[in-house]
Amino acid sequence: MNSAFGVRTSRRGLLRLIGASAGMAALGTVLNGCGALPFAGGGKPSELIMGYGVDQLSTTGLDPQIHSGTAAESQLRNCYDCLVQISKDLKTVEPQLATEWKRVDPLKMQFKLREGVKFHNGEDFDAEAVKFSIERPINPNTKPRSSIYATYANIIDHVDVVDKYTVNVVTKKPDPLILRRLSGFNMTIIAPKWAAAGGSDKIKVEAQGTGAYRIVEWGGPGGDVVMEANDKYWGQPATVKRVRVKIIPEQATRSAALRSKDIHVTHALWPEDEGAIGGSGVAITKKVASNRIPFYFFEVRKPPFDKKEVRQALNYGSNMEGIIKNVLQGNGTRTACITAPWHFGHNQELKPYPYDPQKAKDLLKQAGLADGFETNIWFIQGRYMKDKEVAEAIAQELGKIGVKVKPQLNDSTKNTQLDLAKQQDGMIFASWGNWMFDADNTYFPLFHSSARDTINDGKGQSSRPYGDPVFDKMLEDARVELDEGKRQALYDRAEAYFYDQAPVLTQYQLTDIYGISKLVNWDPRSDEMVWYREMSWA
Amino acid sequence: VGTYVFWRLAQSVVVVFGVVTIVFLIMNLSGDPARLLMPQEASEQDIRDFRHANGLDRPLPEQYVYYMSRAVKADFGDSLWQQGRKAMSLVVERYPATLALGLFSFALIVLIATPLGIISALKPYSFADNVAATIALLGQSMPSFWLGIMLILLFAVTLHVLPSQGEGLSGPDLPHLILPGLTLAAPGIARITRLVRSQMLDVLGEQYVLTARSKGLRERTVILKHALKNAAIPLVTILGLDIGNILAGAVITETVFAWRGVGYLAYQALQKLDFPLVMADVYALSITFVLVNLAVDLLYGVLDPRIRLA
Repeated sequence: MNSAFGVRTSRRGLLRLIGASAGMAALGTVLNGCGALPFAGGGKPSELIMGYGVDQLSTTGLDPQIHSGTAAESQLRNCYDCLVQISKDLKTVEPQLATEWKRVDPLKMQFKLREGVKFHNGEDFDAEAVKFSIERPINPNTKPRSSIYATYANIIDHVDVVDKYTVNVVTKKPDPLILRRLSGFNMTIIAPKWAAAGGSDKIKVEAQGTGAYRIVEWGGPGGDVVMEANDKYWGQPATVKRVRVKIIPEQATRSAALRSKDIHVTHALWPEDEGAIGGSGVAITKKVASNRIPFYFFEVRKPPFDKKEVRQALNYGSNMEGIIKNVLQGNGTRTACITAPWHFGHNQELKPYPYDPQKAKDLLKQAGLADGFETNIWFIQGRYMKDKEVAEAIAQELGKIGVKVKPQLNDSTKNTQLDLAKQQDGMIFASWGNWMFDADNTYFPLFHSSARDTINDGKGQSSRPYGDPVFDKMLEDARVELDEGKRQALYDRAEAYFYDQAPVLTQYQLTDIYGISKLVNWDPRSDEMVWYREMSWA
Repeated sequence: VGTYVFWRLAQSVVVVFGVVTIVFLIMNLSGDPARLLMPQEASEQDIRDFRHANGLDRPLPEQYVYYMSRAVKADFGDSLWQQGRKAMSLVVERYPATLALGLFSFALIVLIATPLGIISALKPYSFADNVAATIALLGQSMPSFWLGIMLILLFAVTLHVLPSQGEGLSGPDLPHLILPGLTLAAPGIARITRLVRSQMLDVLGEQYVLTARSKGLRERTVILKHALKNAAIPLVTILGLDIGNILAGAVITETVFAWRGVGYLAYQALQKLDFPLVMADVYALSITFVLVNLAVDLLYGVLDPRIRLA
């Protein structure tokens, strides 16, 4: 074999390789210089880029009134307003397109509308627009129909136009929740002439609202959404003039894209990303306690979980503080029940069950189970931060009080099948994001007997095991009480009762971790909404 | 040759038919898409309506026959996840992105692996050979999701020379191709480098190479014209199969890089249990693979006239 040839070629090859790498680096520099990459050195970027981990617009397009996904909501709310909105601390209802309101009678709420507001397409915002928008989703003939309406909006009967800027929203029953209901995503106000002319097909691919941004480009399913600030916005105009929303499903890629300055803001990061992003010098992480609360149902219909002492014992013995500290690296806020502090009806007095293994053992003894027992914990993996690791830690901790827990990990489809077939027992994973920020929206759909008896076509399912006439009565009373003070008192009692009955293993509020470029000023919210009008360039 | 092509095409139809059947069965074992696609709060009536509208309430054999009768026309019905869109049109829309990425990766494999393999073969166990062997080992043992992230960290985060994600098929967006292309090509580069090396070692010991050298031909001519061409037949076979690996690797690689091709689409469709979309996606991929292999078989004839009559 000719050695000279080989050596010469490899040297030349090596030189070529070096040349190519240098060329590639030079290419990158040139591209940066031309501004082909979004970050031309120095100055404000031409657009703010947000990286989402999930793509929800593909299913039902841009139609805000039929979505139920939080990620879709978080994008489209920038373009559409409601009559009222929830405040940033999630505690009170604030004016949005309505400036003031008063209850005319138990079934009727009257709203004064903001005058001089125009939709993005130039249509006037007035009482007719409100009537059209609120009655569209509750009309059974609207296609496609939002199934969320069957549960939450069918209490609204109709809307009366009083004059050009006054409407009455009429409910079928007295509804203390009407304001919060009207702040809901599906109650967004859409341009009526445009919507009536184009129908659902048009609303799916275009957006004509009154919001601070208008959508100027949507690349279709999976594609980028590009928004520009609405110059004629009725409120404080947005300072970030152009926003691009990209879908980047892989969390590690999102984190890297932020650090390489390809995007400015991203969500759903992991604790492991914090160090890397903080150390990059180009971005920071900010954390907020989430409105989303995971917990475990106890299957109270099967022994020994029919005994209150057993349920309390597991709450005392699960060492949830330890799990938050060690498994979640502090990314969780312990809860006493399953509402967040900002929810109306949250009982501020209750303290979360402390870790007390001795008390847990005593309670098991009282229940006649001094030697412990065997049970299962049913869970899924990958939906929330470290869900699998937390479930395994719970199983391990409960072993210390003599309860032998078998981890039952299934993919979510299989898990749903087992759930519907009522084949689960012991502890069953669940999670709830209360979008009305009111206790009713957590307890009624999950713990009222009617939920247990009607779910899955009346056949029941493992994840709706609870029903108790005493608790039912408390929820029903609170549901129609229009006086806020009295209603809070009803929920204080209801939550205290729930806490004592312990139908669930309580956990924590999740922590949402956002990554934010140093070029952007922004404080994230607890309800997963990303308002670009709250952002500014640093 | 005409008869041969005809029979190969007939075989290909059987292969695609088999693939679609297997996917149909596996998808039906994996759960109820109605539950998954409807929101948690959906009523039972809504779920039943959804099932009925999409034919999911019919017996399995009936669903199968229905699917197959439409599959012949490349029609898999509407996507369940992207309501109102034909599954096949979604795949067709995303196909060019995957084609571009696949061709680029393929080019990288050929252009990197061939010279590396030749260098190794010309001087076995030398420094250059060891470097090539290390590259091959790394390429073969690194999972693509990990390699992808590492390349992003190096070239996008640390060096700032390449974009971290997103797709680009033209003009100034072309650098978007480089990282996913390299990730997708890595296992192929590893395999082909080793194969070129062993094939070249075999061929270089043959008498006709000695003859060529003794005729006083330039070494370059001996290597590239006489040796490499004779070593090429198994190479072409493996390269053809590597197209299959590129298509399979596209699912993970495209997802990591948010590259909107059919691989990323397959990942999304699987997540949503979108039966029609998964079927359409796999159908398109299997046809691509079968056609490439047909092309490879025909290429044998060009490279080696003795095979032409087969």
